[in-house]
Amino acid sequence: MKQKLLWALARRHVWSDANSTVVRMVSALSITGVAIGVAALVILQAFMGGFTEAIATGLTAMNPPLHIFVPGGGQMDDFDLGAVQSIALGVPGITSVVGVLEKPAVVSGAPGTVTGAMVRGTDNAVLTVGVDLARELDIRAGDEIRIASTAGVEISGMGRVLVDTIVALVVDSVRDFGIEEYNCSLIVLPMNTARNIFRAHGELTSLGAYVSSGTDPVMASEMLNTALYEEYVGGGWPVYMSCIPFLAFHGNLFKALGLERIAMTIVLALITVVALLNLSSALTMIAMEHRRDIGVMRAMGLSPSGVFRISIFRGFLLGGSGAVIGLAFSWISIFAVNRFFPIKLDGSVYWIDVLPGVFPVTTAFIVTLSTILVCLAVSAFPAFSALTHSPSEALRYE
Amino acid sequence: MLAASGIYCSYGSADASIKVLRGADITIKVGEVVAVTGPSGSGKSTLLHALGLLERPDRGKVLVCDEDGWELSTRKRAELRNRKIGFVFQFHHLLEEFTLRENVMMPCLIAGESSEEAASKADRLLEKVGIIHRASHFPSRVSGGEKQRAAIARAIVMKPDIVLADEPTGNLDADTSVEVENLIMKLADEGSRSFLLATHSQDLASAVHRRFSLSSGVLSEVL
Ligand SMILES: Nc1ncnc2c1ncn2[C@@H]1O[C@H](COP(=O)(O)OP(=O)(O)OP(=O)(O)O)[C@@H](O)[C@H]1O
Ligand SMILES: [Mg+2]
Repeated sequence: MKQKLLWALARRHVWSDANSTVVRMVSALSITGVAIGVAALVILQAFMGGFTEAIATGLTAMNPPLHIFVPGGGQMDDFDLGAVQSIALGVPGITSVVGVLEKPAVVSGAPGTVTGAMVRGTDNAVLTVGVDLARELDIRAGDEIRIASTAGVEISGMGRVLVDTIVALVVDSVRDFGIEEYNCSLIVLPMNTARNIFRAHGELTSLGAYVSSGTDPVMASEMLNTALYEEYVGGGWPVYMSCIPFLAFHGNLFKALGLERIAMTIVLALITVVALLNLSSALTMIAMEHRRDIGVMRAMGLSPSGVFRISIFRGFLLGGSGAVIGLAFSWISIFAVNRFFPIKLDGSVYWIDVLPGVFPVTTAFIVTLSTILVCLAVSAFPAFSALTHSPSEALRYE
Repeated sequence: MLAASGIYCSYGSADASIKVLRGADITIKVGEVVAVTGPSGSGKSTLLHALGLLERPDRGKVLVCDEDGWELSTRKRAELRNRKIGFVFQFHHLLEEFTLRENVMMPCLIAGESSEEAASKADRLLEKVGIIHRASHFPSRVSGGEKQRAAIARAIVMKPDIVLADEPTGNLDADTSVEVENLIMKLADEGSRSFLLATHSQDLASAVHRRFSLSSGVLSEVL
């Protein structure tokens, strides 16, 4: 009951029809300031995070999370695959190891179309063409494409000669891989077909490993890498295989994105700091305006701790509503941007062609919580100063 | 009921201090109405604040219902103010953001009563002081006399043993003053409640049971 009274007092001190316009304006401005600060931080994180996440998702959707390769670009074959498979058995979290054969080729679709493409063969794949490539070749699922490679090498009576291979295939599906680069150049097909095209018997360009859900790819990759090192170098072999998480290929990109995000977060956090300074002067002003009222409340028997709490509650109300409005505003803007005003990007530069906003739940929580905590801290000053006055002084204050 | 002895009050630092009260003694019995008069600046407000446990005197003892008010903890003292003492100020000092009813409810809410209980008490008192039709208005929308009536209702809503009124009519025009004075005397006549009025008003001062005058920091009874 008493608590409810203190809240009511705090609420009417910051916002009431009977307040002077100045008080209401000061309250409204400080709420707006906090809201802008919170919204700016959340929206920034939504789009920076959305960008990073979209790229990471696109990359991981098309590639196994772990990449196993021979440093220096050496060849691998089915024998290596078998060896790595048995080594990976001993690494917890790794579910399977597959071979990958990926090489450039020339493709033609509808009459008159021809372009370069990256052909990737893996087990259990069906012939899938990236959307942009399909458009360029003017084909749909069910249409025929021809893939030509000059990578086949044959040894004939005349010595080594390069032999062209042209294979005609029916497209099973056309897919949006999520990453522009893949969409305009990638063709995925079964391993046997790939070996046919490239006349590669048993040859592989890299291996990929999958991990069970809940396993951290970075950890799994480190463990597999150690196991590979022990097996090969420990066994006296000069050449050994390495394993890295696939996303580490793009480590520099993710680092740059992360740095940019930190820099922008700092700048926007400064906006919030300014808003909180504004809030603290608003609270001081509101405290001045109500000094006499507090004196009257003391005369009627309100305890000093009650006075203190009223001050804190005022800060909580202004800061809290600012934070809530900021959150709501950012949620609505992210939703509206995604739904009605998508931000178009140049896919050839940014890999993805629409910038997705993902509401950053954790960040939003942290931003809101810290904003409210700081609000409470800045309201402590007027709260303590209210305590240093005797009720009588406050009453004489006209 | 209220007994104060040897009250010394001063303002300012030790070297440049103004001694406002020099050993004031006063005892007010149950149901007694007492007036304190004195020129402006003589220390009437200071005396009332010391007796009302709002400003600690340099020396002296204030007994409210046999409890030494300045010996209690801050919380206990606040409670004592809430239950035993009512205040009326020269300027009504109503809370601007609250309606007259809510203002009158305030001491009850501070005491922890439910809002229904407090509202019904407030309405009864607003009725008694004749402004029930203004109950849901904000102070800025009612006249000075009505504000002061609401302030008086607020002062007595907790049925305090003593009401301290600091120039309750000092800020009102002559006619309204008379109305408010009559109201105070009517409430005073109800018996069990004591009043201490600081006033310039001769009418009010002459209507009370006992009078004190304050000059040069000395409080003396006018016989
Ligand atoms: N906070 C203060 N600091 C210094 N001097 C003060 C303070 N408050 C009051 N005084 C001085 O103390 C003296 C008594 O003041 P007080 O307000 O008690 O007088 P009063 O009799 O109530 O006057 P009035 O009739 O004008 O209300 C005055 O001389 C005043 O200037
Ligand atoms: Mg005075």
